[in-house]
Formats: sequence, C-alpha cells, structure tokens
Amino acid sequence: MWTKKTILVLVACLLSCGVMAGDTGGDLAIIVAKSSSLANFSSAELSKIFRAEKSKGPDGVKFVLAMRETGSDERAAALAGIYKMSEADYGKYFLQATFVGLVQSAPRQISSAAAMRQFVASVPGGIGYVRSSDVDDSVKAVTIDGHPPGDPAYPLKLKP
Amino acid sequence: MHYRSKSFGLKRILPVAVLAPLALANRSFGEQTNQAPVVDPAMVQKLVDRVDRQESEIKDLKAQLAIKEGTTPDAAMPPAPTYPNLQFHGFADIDYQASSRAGINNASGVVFNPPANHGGNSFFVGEFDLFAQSQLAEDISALSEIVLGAGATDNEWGLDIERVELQWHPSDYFNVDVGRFHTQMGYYNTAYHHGTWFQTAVGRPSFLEFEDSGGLIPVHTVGVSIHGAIPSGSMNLMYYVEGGNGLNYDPSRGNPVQNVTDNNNFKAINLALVAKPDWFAGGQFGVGAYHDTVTPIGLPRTDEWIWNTHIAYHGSLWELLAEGFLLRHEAAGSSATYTPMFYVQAGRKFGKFTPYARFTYYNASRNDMIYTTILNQGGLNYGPSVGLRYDFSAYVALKAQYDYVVQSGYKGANALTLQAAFTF
Repeated sequence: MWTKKTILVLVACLLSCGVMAGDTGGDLAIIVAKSSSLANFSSAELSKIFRAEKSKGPDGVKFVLAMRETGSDERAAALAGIYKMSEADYGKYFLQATFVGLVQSAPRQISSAAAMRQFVASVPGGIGYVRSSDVDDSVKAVTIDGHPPGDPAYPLKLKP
Repeated sequence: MHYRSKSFGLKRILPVAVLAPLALANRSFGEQTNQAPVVDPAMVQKLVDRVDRQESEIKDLKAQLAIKEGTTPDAAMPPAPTYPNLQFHGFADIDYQASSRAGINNASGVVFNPPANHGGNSFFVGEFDLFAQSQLAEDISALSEIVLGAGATDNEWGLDIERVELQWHPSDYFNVDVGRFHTQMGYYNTAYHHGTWFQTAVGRPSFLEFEDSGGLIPVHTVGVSIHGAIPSGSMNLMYYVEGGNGLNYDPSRGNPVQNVTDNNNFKAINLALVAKPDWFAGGQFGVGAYHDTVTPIGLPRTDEWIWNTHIAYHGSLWELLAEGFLLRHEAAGSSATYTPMFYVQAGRKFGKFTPYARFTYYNASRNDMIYTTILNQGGLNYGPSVGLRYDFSAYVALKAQYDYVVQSGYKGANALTLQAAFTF
C-alpha cells in the first residue's frame, strides 16, 4: 500500500534530484479496438469525431466516444489538443449540440486508463485516449496526421 | 497480469529511486548545511504534478485489479442500450427592462412594437423552456421543446409547442427530421433559439424574433427537413433541403406558423448550404434560399423569396457573427418589394466576462403590404447594442445590455435589460 510516508519519501527523493529528468508529460494516445480498421486520423478529422460532427467510421460503425474524468491530465490534454475548449466551453458545447439535435448526450466519462482500455477494446466503435505509456496490447493507438505517439511531431501532448 | 507486473516494478524501483538521488546529492547537502533552504515554487509545482500522476497510476492499478478480480461493477462497460432513453433539460430567464418607450417584454431585449410612445420598466419572466430528447432506436430519436411564456399585454401564461420532431439519422450524409422544427435559415436561428442561456446577448436580433413577437422571417417550419454532409474534403459542406407549410399572414391570428392546416396548397421550400472548412476551425459560413407562395388574408397572392448568407466564428476567446437577409415580396399585379436585414455581433471572453456589441438593421419596405398592413413592421429599424455577459456559474449567466433603436415614425429609444439566464 502507498502510505503517506512512502509518498513523503518519494517527494524527498524528487526534491533531492531536482527534477533533473526534464519530464515532458508524454503524449496522449488516441486508442481504438485492436481489431479496428482505423489507423490514422487527421487532426481536423479527430476534432470532428470528438465534437460528434462525424458520427461513423468508414466501416459504418458508429463512434462511441469516451472522455476521462474532470480534473485528469488526460482530459485536460484532450480539451486543449482536440476540442480547443475550456472545461466550461466543453459542457456548453455538448448541451448545445443536444439542443440542436446533433447528439443525444456528451461522451461517456471514464475514470481510469484501465477502464478506458477496456471500454475501447470491448465497445464496438469505442474511441478514447490514454497516456502513451498506458497503451497495451488490448488496444491500438492510431497515428495523428501520420505521426505515432512518441514522435516529436505528434500533436497531442500532455502538460509537463 | 498488468497490475502485478507494474506493482512488482514499482516495489523494486522505489528503493533505488530514493537512494540513488540521495547519494548523488550527498555533496550538495554537505555544502549547503549552513545555508537556509531555498524553495523553488516551480519545482514544488512539478513535484506536486508528479505526485498527482503517480496517484493517477495507483488509481489505474487499483482499477485494473478491480476489473481483473471482479470486485467492483465494470464501470467502463456501458449497459446494453435501452429504448426509449429520455433526457431532459430546462432553460429559463428572469429579466428586468427599463426603456424610454413601451416594448414587448420578452427575452428579446428590445422589441419595440409600441402601443404608445412612452417609457416603462418591468420585471418579467422570460421563456420557460422544457426541452426533452429521447433515443428511440440506434438511428431514431424524438425531440420536443415546450415553452411557457407570458404575454406582454395580458400578463397571462401561454404554452407553445415550439418544436416536436421525429429524427431519423441513418448516416452522416442523409438525415430526415419531420415535425415542427427551426428553419435552417442563417446561423442564429438554429444555433440559438429558445434557450437564452446559450446566447451571449440577452436576445435575438430584432428581425430574427419569433413570428408572433415581431420577427420578419419564418423561423419555424412545420414539415420535413432532409440534411447531411456532402463529401467535400476539407470544406466539410452540409446541405439542407426543407419543405413545409410556410406562414399564414392573417391579422386576426397572433402567430402565422401553420401547425395544423395550410391555408393554401403551396409549400415553402428552403435550401441551405453550410461550410465548416478545416482551415476555419471554430467557424462556418453558408448561404440559403427560401421560397413560398403566400396568400395573406385581405391581400393578393404573394410570391415570397428570402435569400440569406452568414458567417460565424466561435474561438476560445472571440465570438464573431454576421448574417444578412434579403426578403422579396411580389404581390400579384404589383411590383416586387425588397426588405434588407442584417446584424453583426462581436464578443470577447475575459475569463468569466464577455463584453459584446451588436448592430442590427432592417428596412421593411413601406410598399410591402404584408409588413405595413398585417405585421405593422414597415419602415426602417436599426441600432446598436452593447452588453456584458458574466458566467456566474457553469449553468447561470448574468447579462446586462443597453440598446438604442431608431425606428421610422418614432423618436429614438433607449433600453436597459438585465437578465439572469440559466439551464437546469
């Protein structure tokens, strides 16, 4: 178990080394089911999908969107990199999209990377995101504008 | 498996992670024993962020374990869809308006249709909007919007079914809505309608008001709407083809929308084309044309055309809207009359504050008998509006707006409107 003492020791450790590692925060990987034919999105296409302006993939399967919980780093990266919206604007956007009949509701909210992977792997059309370090064999990370997560030109970055 | 491997790794790495930096920093500690500790706020923030991330990892590991061991319900897995799946939202606004001339007290800010040329001030309850949407099947949904509003003259509540639609959305390229819907005409009419909370300003541009509140265009249609995307690459074109009853200009009726019976066999046709290009992120522009043959009571049959164009942009800071309409009426045996209308609006966010300004203009032809004898809206009407929206909370907006209106036949009028708009 992670106790307060353990965390304090870890903080002391980090203080002593002065955060010399230069953590970049990592990339936000867009994930789909491993069996999905989706392999790449353009930035504009990704934005349209997450804004629910594009509802189906080329195989005719309806996208089922998932977002991380409010306050998570991954959600902040998605709002900044995909939606280009603040949290408040995101809420207003989906309420208005419901009002004009564009969507039934806002994307599903999921509270851990493991649950996100499981959702994407098991729900037809499921699409979500995790830290690139959280991608495992159960899902597939798609490329954005031809760049895979980890590529310096990959556009979706987590805040350092 | 995933949990175990990560947990094992952490257990092994942790002692090394603690001891190695301490060993590396030994010399530094020795040198600094006689100095006061210096705390770098940026470093502390980085450390806090790092701890946050590690807490997130722990949460993830716990979630994996829970999923693996089946000790918690599988939160990620959505339940099998059940229909109907009803969702409800409400919108309302409470207002105060003081004006140098009596106006219609509704959520439209200033709609001068004065029975007398004098001032007034009133508190008023704006629209009470009950919006419901229900998924009936994967591609079928129903939508309804019932609005309660009090009349300015009788102070009595009235109920309007503003929208009721059955929607079939089999693909991004072909969708069908039937019922009473918002006519796809320009931008404001469909982006904002009865929910005043959505709007930056306190109300609609005057000529886009509802048909029974002094508006000049058919903002509602009873009929069918076919719409969808046009494969167009980065231009992201959308088409709209709509057909419906059109309006019945009858001085004895308060609302010209024909919900049940069309007073003639002509049908209104509305076409619109909207582009949301990739290079114009957050923006869109479009054009449209509307045609009907109307048979106003007491007047000759009239050919009605409305052409419109719009451009709209919503960025993270700026909101820019501009629309123009040109309405043409040609009564049998008469020459055509033209009524131009436009507005431009700009707003910029400063945190929770959004100051904005709008200029609205229309000039309803005095030779247009429908406007002069039935709608009592003939002549020039224009003026600026400036206001401030404050997002008091996520779902409550407070607004203050000043309007100055120049209207043919009347002295220029001032109005101040305060509004609390909310959704629930």
